[in-house]
Amino acid sequence: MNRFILSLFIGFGFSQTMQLTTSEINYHGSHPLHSWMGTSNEAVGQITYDANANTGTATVEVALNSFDSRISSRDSNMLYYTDALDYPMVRFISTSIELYGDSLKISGDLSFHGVTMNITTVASANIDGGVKVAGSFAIELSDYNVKRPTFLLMQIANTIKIDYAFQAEE
Amino acid sequence: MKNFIYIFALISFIQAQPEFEIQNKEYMPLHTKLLWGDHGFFRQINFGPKTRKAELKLRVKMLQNHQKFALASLGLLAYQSSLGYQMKEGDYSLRKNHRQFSKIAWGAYMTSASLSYLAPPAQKYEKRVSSIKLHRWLSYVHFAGMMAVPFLGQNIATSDNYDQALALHQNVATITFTSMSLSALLTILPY
Repeated sequence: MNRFILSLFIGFGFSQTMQLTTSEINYHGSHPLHSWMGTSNEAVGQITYDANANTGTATVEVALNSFDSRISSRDSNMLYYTDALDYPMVRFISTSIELYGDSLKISGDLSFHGVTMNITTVASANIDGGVKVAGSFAIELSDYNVKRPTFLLMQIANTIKIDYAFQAEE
Repeated sequence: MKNFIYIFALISFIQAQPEFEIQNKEYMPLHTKLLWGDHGFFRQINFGPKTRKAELKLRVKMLQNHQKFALASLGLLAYQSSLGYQMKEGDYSLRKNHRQFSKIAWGAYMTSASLSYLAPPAQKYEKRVSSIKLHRWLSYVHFAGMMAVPFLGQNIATSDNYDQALALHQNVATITFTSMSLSALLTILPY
């Protein structure tokens, strides 16, 4: 199905730009005593497909203060440690998207806490009245110069897993 | 194409700059509202950090130290309970230790409580019940207990009814210690 639609784009030299209509981004943090998840449904961005270049692009950004971990005190701590007053947004801009059947290999620049790092994520894609993309990746807080909070004298884990699901429509 | 994407990102970044007002201020705890609310005491006397960023930094430091003093208090109270039970069994040689440690435990506890109650406000609040909210509600129980226990301890020596005074001191101390232990355990729950 995906290939059929893509071939239509290529056949007609069609470039499509779609805006994110629904989104869910979860970050998963862990500490020796517990793990937790923070969720945001407020990401904005767009996905484009350039038929002539046979490639696509994606930009997504989300405000750090839109994440809800179900404990507001923890959310406040997260905003403090990520310097969200100075760097309020997390932004992803793709640099390449490769299609493998219903899967996408997406590489791009993730900007967080004033640091931009290249990341790669594998996502599942479903084109049915728009584009649905879901995948995950992990970051190291130390890569982004984020000081790790301590709780009861123990630091949280350096690795934060992130999963996402987006739907985009024209 | 890449330039276009960056321009789009820049425009949407400018448009999406979030407000960094405290979210859901109406759910701020009463003691925080009285001290740090828009018309709170510290605002009136112009006390405290000048920026929200500095307030958050101070808050994090105070709460980190609150945890350390709270752990120390819990340990000291456990020791105090042990001394108290041994005295009840008839070992009055521990009376001096019990009195001395009561001052250290009380001081550590009140330092811990002050660091929490006096901390600047968080960046966001919520209506729903969470483990941290229960932690705070339980703190009202053990704070009241910690205020009463020293007086109830002194009362044992002067009371006309020794057994009743001892039972009251012991019961309040037990409720205080139990609520404090529960309060500590709640902080390790994920939600």
